Amino acid sequence: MTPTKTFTMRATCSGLLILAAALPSARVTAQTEADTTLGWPNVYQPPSPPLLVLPLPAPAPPAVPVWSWEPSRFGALLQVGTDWPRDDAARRLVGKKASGGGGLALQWDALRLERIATFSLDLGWLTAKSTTSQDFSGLREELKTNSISLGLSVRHYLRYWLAPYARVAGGIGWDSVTVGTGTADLHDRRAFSQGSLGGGLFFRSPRLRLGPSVSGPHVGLMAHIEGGYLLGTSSDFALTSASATTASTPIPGSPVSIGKVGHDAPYLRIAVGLAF
Amino acid sequence: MRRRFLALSLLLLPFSACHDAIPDNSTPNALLPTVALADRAAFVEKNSHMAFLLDPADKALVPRMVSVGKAPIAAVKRNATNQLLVLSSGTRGSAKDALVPAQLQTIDADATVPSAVYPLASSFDGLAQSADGGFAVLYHAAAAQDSTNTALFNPNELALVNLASPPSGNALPNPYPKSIRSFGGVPADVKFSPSFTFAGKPRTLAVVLAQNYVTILDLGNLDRTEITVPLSPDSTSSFMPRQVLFDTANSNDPTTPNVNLYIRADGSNDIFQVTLAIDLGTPAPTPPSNDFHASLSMLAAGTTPSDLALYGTGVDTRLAVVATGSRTLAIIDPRTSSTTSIPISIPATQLVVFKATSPSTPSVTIPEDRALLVDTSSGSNSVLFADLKSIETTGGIALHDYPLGASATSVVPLVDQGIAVIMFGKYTGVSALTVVDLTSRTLSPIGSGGGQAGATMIDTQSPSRVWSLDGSNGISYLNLVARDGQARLATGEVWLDQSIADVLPLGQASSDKHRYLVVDQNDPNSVGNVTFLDADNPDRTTARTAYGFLLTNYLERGNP
Repeated sequence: MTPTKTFTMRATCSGLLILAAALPSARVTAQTEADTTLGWPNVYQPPSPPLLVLPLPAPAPPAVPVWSWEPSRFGALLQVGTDWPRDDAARRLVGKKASGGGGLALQWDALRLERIATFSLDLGWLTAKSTTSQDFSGLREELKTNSISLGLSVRHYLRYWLAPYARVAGGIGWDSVTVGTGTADLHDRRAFSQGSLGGGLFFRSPRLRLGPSVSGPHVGLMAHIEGGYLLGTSSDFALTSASATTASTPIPGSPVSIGKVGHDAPYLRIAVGLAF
Repeated sequence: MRRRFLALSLLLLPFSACHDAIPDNSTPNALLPTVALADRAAFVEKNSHMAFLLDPADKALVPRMVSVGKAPIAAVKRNATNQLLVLSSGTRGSAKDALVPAQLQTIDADATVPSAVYPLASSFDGLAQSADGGFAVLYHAAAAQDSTNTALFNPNELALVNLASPPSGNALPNPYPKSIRSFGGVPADVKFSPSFTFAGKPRTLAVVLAQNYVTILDLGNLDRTEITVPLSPDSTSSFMPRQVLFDTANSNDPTTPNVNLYIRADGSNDIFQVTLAIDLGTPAPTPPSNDFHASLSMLAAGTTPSDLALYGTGVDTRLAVVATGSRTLAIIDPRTSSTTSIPISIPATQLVVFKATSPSTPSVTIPEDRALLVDTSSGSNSVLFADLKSIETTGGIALHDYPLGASATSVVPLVDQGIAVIMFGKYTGVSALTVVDLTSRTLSPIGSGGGQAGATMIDTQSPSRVWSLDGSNGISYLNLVARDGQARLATGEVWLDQSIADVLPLGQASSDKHRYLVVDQNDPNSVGNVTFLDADNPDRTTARTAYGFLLTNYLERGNP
């Protein structure tokens, strides 16, 4: 071993020792820098245990944060939404200018490019029910709408807790209409397909580690507020009577077409849930 | 603080439209009575002011919808056509809303024929039309005035509508407004003459009936003045004209063309004869004067005349009058005003004149004028046949008494089919109704097991049939005359799925060569519930129901 190599090895070992001794302060420094640059900082650093001379010098477990801004991969959300149908028939059927509903959604962050972009997939179910009465006949009419959509969104974090995003979604739904007074009601159910394009803001909280392990379960809060435009195929309703007769071979009747109900509408969705 | 409020508002926004809003000021669909056109059924819904025409030949039973005037109050078939007439009263308007004028509208069963709308200057509620459907007279019916309408109106104002002409483009306005002369009364009814030629010119007359006077209008010459004929010149009596007969046999007489009107009025023991004559020897008066003049005479007819009928032609024309109070049949020669009064055994109220041979004179093979006399109000248990040709000479010998099983309440003559149907106002026992063969003078009682609690309707289309409702899902029928494969007086029954409110036969076969019966079914939801049944071969397996047709396309119709 040449003197040069020997010096180099000693210098390296000494440097590592010095670096190891300086690690806590270096971590804090990195965290401080991460507040303004890339990376997912921890918000809480527990103090180092006091140096005690113990009879059993077992090494202390490495300190891990309880709260972290590390992103979660999954989300389960409750969502509520409002549509403002553009179609007169739809507005007439729901009896007002807007219809509202609620549902569930699941979200999965499929791809993360640090804080530049996060690509997410979501699966949502939304249900709405409106009951009104016809303005000229007084008949009660009830519209139930269920829709299932699969969405793809991309978001960019401006802050650890805030990310604007754009989302495109598509899915299917079905409308169920009932008209009558409770006896011999007329009804129909129609399926439709829909797609949407929207954007919004994604909010999240730091996540809480639920176990001792860094890779263990954790939970956080997340929320969306999203607006956009929904495009859907029309539902062409043709009502038939459910219980007009008890005859074994009823006299045939004809379905009554009441018109087409369009699903195009601007929408607003708000969702809150847990991130895992 | 503002940020919190904004955040809260955003959270609550989606919920703002989630609540159910059920207005409670809506009213159920309100249908005018169903109208049977020639080959389809028509329904007029008042709230949406929409007419629905259902063609039973259309397997899908998709109604054709035609918007009608606001606040429709009457819908009837236009006589002798396949059109619907709808009278709408419009709205008065307000400081906020514009007035919507009243109108009369024709809607043809053929969708390619445009609907004609005749705007009206006043909200009439009485509609009468001529037998040929050529003219309509709209008037203010005293009994049907809208109590909520407090605007002033002239009850003697009429609108004369020439339905054969379009609403515009005519020399005279169409409808033609007319305020008729009044002696304190208001129109109660309007009667029309048949279309006839008077001194070679086509005419249709309308007679407006009012307390103590009648008003004669020449509908072919609307710019001419009306003729008012007082029935009680001293106004000490109260005569309410009820029945008008027109004798136009001499309307083209080469020397003195004339038309006779015979008017029966409640409260009068006389029949009023109004003669309209044209004096060919003088120059025709220029409008607004009429080209004919009227004269009134009174014919004695016994006490409380209740029905009258004309028979014979030319100089042999006679007027037969039954008088309930005096129990007489009066035969009047209008030319001489001579009256032959024959006592009868029953206080007859209705007179059915027909031509037939008689079993009492089998040697006479040529049909002669005869009459069936029925008491429908005093409980008599018999009817009379009268041989009118000989009654003036033989008196009571020409009368023949036939017993009935019960007291008659009405009689439906089907003279062209040689029968009359006597109804008893009840549908139980062996005397639900009686079918009278006018030629053989047989009376066939028809019984009912007690279930016929509903209405009975006589389909007068030949071969005629009686339809009887049992108050639930059943319809039974009786052939009044023989038809293919079915004997006279054969009965049958059809069961439908829902209870039945009414039945209406259509007048002619639809495009699928079947003639249908329109069965109005009970409709608690007021969405429209009708079943079409083959009127000639009624069978539930070929019936079809249109339930909910009033909702057709309602999402796309827009607000009424």
